[in-house]
Amino acid sequence: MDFNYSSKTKNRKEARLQRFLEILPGALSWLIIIGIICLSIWQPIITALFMIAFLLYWLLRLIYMNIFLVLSYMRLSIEKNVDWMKRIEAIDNLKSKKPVLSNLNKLKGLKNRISQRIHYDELINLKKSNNLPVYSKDLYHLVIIPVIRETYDVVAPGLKAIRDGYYPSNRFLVIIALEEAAGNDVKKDIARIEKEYKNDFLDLLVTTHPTGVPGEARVKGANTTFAARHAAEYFNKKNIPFENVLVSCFDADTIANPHYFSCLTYSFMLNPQRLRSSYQPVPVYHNNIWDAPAFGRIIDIGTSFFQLIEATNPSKLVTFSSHSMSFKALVDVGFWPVEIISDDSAIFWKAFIHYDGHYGAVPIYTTVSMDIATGPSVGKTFTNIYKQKRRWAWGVENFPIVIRAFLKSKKISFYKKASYSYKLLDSFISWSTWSFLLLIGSNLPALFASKRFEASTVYYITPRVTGIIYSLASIGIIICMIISLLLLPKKKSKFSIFAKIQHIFEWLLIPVIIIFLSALPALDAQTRLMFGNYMEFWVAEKFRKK
Amino acid sequence: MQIARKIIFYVFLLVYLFLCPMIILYSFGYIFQPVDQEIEQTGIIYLSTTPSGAYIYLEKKECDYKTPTSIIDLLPGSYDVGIRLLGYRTWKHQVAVCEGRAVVFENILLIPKDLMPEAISSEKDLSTLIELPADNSFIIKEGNEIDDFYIYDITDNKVQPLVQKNILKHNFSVNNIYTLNKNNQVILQGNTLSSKKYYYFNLSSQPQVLTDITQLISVAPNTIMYSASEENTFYAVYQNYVNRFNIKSMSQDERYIDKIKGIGLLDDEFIVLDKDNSISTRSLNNEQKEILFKNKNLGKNLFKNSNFYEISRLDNQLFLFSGDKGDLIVTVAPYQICDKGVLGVEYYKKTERLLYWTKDTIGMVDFEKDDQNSMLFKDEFEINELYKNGKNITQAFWVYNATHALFADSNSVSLLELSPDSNHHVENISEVRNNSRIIYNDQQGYLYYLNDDGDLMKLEIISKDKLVFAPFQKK
Repeated sequence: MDFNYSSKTKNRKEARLQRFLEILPGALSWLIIIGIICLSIWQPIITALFMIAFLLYWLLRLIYMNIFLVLSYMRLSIEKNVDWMKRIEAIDNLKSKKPVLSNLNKLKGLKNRISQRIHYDELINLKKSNNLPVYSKDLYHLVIIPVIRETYDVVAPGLKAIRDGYYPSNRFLVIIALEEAAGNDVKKDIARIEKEYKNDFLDLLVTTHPTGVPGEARVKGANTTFAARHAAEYFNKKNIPFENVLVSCFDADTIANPHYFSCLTYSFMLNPQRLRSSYQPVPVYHNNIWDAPAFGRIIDIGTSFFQLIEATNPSKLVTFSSHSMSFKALVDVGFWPVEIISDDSAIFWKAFIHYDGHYGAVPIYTTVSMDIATGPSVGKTFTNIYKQKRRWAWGVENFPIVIRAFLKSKKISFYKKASYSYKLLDSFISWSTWSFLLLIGSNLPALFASKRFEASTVYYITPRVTGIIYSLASIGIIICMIISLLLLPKKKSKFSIFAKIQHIFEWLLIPVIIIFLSALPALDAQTRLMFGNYMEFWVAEKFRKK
Repeated sequence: MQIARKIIFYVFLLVYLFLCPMIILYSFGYIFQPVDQEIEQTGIIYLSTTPSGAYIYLEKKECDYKTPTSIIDLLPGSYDVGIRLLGYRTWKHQVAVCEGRAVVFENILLIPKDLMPEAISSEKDLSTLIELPADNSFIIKEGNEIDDFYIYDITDNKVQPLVQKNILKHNFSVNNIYTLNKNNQVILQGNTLSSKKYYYFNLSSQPQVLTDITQLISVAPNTIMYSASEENTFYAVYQNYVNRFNIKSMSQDERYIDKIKGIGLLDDEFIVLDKDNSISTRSLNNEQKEILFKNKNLGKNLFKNSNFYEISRLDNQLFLFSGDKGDLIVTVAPYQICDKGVLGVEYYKKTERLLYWTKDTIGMVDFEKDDQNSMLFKDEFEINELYKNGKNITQAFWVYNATHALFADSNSVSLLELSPDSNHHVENISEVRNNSRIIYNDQQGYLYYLNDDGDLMKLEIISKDKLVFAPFQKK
């Protein structure tokens, strides 16, 4: 479908619809929060019962998510030491050979056996699909790294990781997308990086995105689009078909796992719908995890968990943060939106709409590591994290555009429209309201209790029931603690075991953290959208301790 | 994974659809009786004691839990509930449990088996105690002469002469003491050898100065009022009129306010019940400000029992009219609390409860609105007769957030515990000297009284550090 993926429209009717849909998420969130307060004054018994129903729903959903968190982590763990290059070779050989399932009993370790079995099944499915990929030797990777204020210390490790990874570095075109507005010290650092890494890749280019281009907002998508257009010209000159290129849009601080690109290539080749898919890794925030304060650690581990859980539902997966996709698809849809802040999810929706719903995201079980937004002090770190989460929550700006596209589209199935719309709206509403409901909802009816309510059994049984629910929910927290310990990198210190013990107790901060660094930023973002107070792109400060 | 996800999703959905209504029904008290294969709605008994940690006996069997706790899953019916704690009197009650309802005993005060009053004064053979409006002291009377009066400071635990020695150069026999608001101002009315005298002094002034104001008061007033916004000015209230006098200028305005049926002094204005039963406010300069009530028929009906009413403000728009015949009227429907015999009242603002007593009855008026009550013609307050077996009730006090009442009946003091089922407990606390009064300080939780020998005694009724608040309980 030809759809202008933008919040701006000249059509009056569309503009009104856009505005209504911008108001909707914030209005619903506030309605829920204020509504529960009013209801507890007006009808405390009904509120108490509603809270029981909500808490039970929350508990079951927590258990449900925990199950998939564990499964997803297990999958990540299983695929951790896979030799992806060998698997890529196996796909290359598919054209001439049938897949061979090696004797599983000879393999050491249950993980290996499971992994091998999964691999074999995947090869069989690929063979059956009759849509074999080109040979791996014909594939290229384009990595775009946007930079505006990040220095050498932040950017260089990412390039080093690409160079030192398992995938041959001479298959990479790396573009450092620099903003014209970047400071001189940043430009100097980039020049230094260019000099140091120039010969390590197929090519290393530095583009300078001019400031104040008409029609563009000050967003990352405008910069990366500018870089991608350069890349398109480059590939055209070199006669490299776009179908053979995978583009990865990273943040300046992204450090890819050494297996990332080999895993990505394998996933791409394996996928019969390879040109109509995005590839979503698991984001972790390990670059400076031990330098960040506890609340920063916990909140970003929570983000990783969320993505791990989302990875178990690929039919509803939407791209987030650093991810990859087919360069052909990127060109087809017109690159990233140049006026939308949340370009990571916007590009998915743009592609989904462009291909009439025949587009999806594929989870790849490998990690990319980024920085926790920190600052020179605890207070500044708190502010930076708050702003970052608010920017992430600004992804709600996609909601009105997606719904407008769905309303227009005649080719996307009703089921897909309904399920994606619901998921989109539900994710933002629950993000901004659930923490408040958990914090205040259970106690409000009692606070405003009338005599009648105080003399009812509901008044006395409700605290017991909610107490049991919270106790059961703490099992979920324990599971999260365990997974986080398993995911954490080892602290480079003599007493890393103490760090881990300390980290267990940090999880007790959850009730406070999710209010101030999750729910509140989400509510802030939705409220701004509701009032038409559109945000500008804010670059998270990346502060590395020397 | 997709298929597994779908299966797990539907399983969880079914679990939710099954569990949610079950839990909601359970919240309303519904349980499944496996023996009868029936679903029955149960009730709850909530018990909270001071001190906490008492053992609970239900139908003479000890329960697993101690106070404060709620006993749930009780089938409707009557239950014998007992509470025991070492060193305290056993508390027993027969509780009727209704389906879907909780019977709440959230303020049970356990009484020690051995109450240990403390003698706090060396003076002997005291005759009575006299309350002062300020809560931190009271007057002790030994005899009639001025030297037989003492003042006890509750905070400092000190007894001092009411009037310092040698201030009065002659004998003075006290007949009446007028205490004025909470300002520690006192007017003594009494007799010297030759004449009637009135003396004014301030308890907190140092050095103490007694001012002879006899010339300002010719006839003994019913009561004397004082407004903090007018220093040195007092209002002597008589039947149907008020005199004003100033102790600095020693001047008097006779019949300053005349032809009235009732009066009260608010902060800086009067509230007046006129002869025609209309109610208005007047400034301290006796200028009419606002007419608050003017309904001839209703007024005549309401104020028919007494000749004169003392008016006091309980709350913002809530006024109390205490008639000289003992009738009590308030300014919210159905207006009349009692038509005769009321000897005193005490209002507890936080819970909006008024305690009143006659010679043989103690009653309570609850002004707290129940917004959930959707009945037609609903009253703005509820009257409950708490105790009807009095012989000669002279005083009563609210205790412990107006959940108990301490009262003096003949020569004993008892503690009445308000029960939700109107089956109130009464515990005898102590015997007191005949014809003597008691003092109770709720802030500290102490009762002051005279024993048979006339010794001043102090007894702890509530131990403030042992108070327990129930979950969700309004403090």
